[in-house]
Amino acid sequence: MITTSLRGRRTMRVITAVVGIATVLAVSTACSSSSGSAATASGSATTPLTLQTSWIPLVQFGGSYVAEKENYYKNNGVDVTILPGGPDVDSMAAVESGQADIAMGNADTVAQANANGADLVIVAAGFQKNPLAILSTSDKPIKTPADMVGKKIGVPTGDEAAQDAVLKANNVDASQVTSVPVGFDVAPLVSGEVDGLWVFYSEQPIAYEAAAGKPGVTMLTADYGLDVYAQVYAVKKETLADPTKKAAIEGFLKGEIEGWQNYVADPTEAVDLTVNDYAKDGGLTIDEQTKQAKLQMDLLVTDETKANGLLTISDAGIQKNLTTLAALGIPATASLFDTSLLADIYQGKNTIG
Amino acid sequence: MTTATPHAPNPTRAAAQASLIAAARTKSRTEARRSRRSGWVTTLLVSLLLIGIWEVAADLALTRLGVMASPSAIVQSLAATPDLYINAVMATAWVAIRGWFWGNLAAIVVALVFVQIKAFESLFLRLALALFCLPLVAVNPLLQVTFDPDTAKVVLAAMSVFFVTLVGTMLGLRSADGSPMTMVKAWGGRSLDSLWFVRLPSGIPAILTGLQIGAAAATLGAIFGEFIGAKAGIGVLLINGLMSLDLGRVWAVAVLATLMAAIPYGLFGLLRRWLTPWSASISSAAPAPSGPRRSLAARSGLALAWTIGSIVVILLAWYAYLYVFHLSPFVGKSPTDVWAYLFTSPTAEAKRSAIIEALGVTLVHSGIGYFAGLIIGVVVAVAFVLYPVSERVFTPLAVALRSVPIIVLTPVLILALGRGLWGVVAIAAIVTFFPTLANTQGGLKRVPSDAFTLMRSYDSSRMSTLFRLQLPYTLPSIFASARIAAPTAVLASTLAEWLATGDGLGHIIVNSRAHADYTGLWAAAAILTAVSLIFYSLVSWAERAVLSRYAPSYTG
Repeated sequence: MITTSLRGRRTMRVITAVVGIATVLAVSTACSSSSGSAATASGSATTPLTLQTSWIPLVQFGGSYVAEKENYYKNNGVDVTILPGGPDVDSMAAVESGQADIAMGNADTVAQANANGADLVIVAAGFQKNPLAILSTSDKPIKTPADMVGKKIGVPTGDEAAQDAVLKANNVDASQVTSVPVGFDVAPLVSGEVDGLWVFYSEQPIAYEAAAGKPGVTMLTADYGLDVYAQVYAVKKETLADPTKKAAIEGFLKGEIEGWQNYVADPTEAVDLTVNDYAKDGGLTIDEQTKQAKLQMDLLVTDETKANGLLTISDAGIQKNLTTLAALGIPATASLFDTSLLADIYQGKNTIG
Repeated sequence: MTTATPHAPNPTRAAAQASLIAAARTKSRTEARRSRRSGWVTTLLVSLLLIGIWEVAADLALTRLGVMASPSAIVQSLAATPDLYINAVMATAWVAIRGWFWGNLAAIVVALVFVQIKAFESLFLRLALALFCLPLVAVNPLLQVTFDPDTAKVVLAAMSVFFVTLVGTMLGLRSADGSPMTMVKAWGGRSLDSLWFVRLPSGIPAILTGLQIGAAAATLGAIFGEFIGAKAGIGVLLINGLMSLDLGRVWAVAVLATLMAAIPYGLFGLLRRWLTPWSASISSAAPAPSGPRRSLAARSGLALAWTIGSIVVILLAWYAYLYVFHLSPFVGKSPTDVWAYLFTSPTAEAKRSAIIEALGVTLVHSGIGYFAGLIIGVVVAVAFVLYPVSERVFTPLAVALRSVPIIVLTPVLILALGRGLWGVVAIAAIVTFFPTLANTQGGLKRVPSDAFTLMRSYDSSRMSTLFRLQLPYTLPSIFASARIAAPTAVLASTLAEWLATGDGLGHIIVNSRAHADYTGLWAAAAILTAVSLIFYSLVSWAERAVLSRYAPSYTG
């Protein structure tokens, strides 16, 4: 019986410990959640909007950071919450399920979502050129799709259709190219396991150069038939049917354009905001983000944006997108795009503000 | 344990023997102390040697190949930006701790209910298992649209720990001694009394083992949760580190993830020893046979009824999830949608054949990974018990293998083993072996000391003690691990398929997600879960068959 009561006491000790920990955790959880929700009560005239970005904070979204910090959003009547993305974030699903109002992503992602039952529309296009590129070493360069013959290419899962489309558009026999799945690091190319790697034009080439000690060769797939807008802004179609909501989205786009105009004029502020504020816990460096910011100019600024303004969607652009989408096997029509907000914002000019 | 009655000895001979035994005991105690000290020295030396080898290998090749940083580079990275790492660890740990807490709390409560009310177990255990079997790559996008970002991460971490603790706790509660249970009953105790006085105290070691293993799982869950959007945390550092191929950063994250798992692992080990010193001294007598034995037909009929009941529960839970969280129909697909996708839609046949082909690939991967992970886990646990030095040297390594995100290890494994079967097996085995190791080790340590005394009195050799006493006693633990390892191996092979081979159901799931084909994602996930459930049931069946013959102390 002595042992039983001893056990009983030990059990009590355990239970006391568990209950104690539970109370502390429960109380602190409650505190943290209540402090989180208190901040959003201010701002009466502005409409709250949520922007779901496609990746964790990087200078890739620098224009949006500038727009928020410089009050470009507020001055246009919207209060924007910028949600960080990540490898497993589906921005389209976030908007479709009402968690966010505006999604950032590639035009093909939007079309794909629509093909699967979403009802989204693209209202502006941040990157005029698709940043998907194939990175290779200078010893065994891949400058055109024809160079891919006999090579081993690292393709992230989900981009296989893109690779097939590029090969097909350039009359390269897909059976002559080996592809293996990869993550988002350039290690397979550095180690020589693969000869080419699908990358984001303005990001991994910088890492490759730092690791290999010499620059790699980058082939933009946009130049070889994979020509879709990227980092587009997609909203639910029903949002635009409501005049108040449509006005709010237009206000957001005005702020966004002003932010990116600031970025294009001089990316220093955007880089600084990214490294020291929005991504301050991401361990980024000014040096590498500046390089990325500069490479990104190639995607943001084209002859068309010089003529029509940043984030533009042109008729020729829509045609190119639809051709690429058809090559990817994604059904889409011109109704995927709605250029009325941009037309209203620019009024025929090529800058605002 | 039935002990042979010793012969009544001659008194003087008995005294002489007693003094001999006392002398031998003192000697063995001093020896034990000395060997413990020399054990620590060996541990230190071997660890230093391993770190030295790592440093040289990294400097010579691995860093240049872009797959692994050297220990010195890791230290440099940690020392250069300590604040960055501290903030990241705090952010991730806060999610991990909450997930770990809620997941374990839920698991222990559910285990108590299951043990007290058998019908609940029969109905709901498969639902708990189904949650555990859901592939992370499919769960992440769903959590993202179900909860706010913070809650989603906590839920993911909680889900990562729930099932393992549930199974461990149930095993612990059931391992309750036969005789004290009978005693409580004989004195008129109700089932709650036996829960309080017998089941809980004897269950605590197993519960603590669950909390121990859960630390690694919760940390990994929290890191992976950051993949659904985060501004801070070691997962964010990991993504940025991988993107910029900053190996010092990537491997510093790996080291921190290991510490975040290893520190609670060690602490709970100590706590277990402090709280439950009796755990090694319990004599496990056979419990009274529970319930009347039914005929084979009655038993299989009952089992079938419970299985059908469980399937209904799972399907209802599926609908309930969609309904309660108002999941947008774009993302949330119902069982009827999946049925149509697989059987009645115009493209059903093509989809079905693609999924069946992928399933075949996944079954090969997970089958081999399963046995590899299980065997490695048991062998390592036995080695740890036979050679305590190896335990001290390799436990940190084992914890590290479990807590380093697989995405960090994959490039190294691919480089070493290629993308073929060996690479997949290595990934599956790494994910599978750790719970097996921990459970088996725990089981080996719970072997009653009077049984050892008996084996010693027969002058049994170490091997004979291992095979005749320790392993049979550990069979329930080994089978508990083998059950958990079944779905884990399936999940692990989908990870490997996603990151290394690009085939199988793992590939279909990631690909469906990339193309917003959520019906395809649900269908593949449902099939994968069903396969895991069947796999688990097969192991349970084997468990019952084996344990009814070899482990008399096991209560069913």
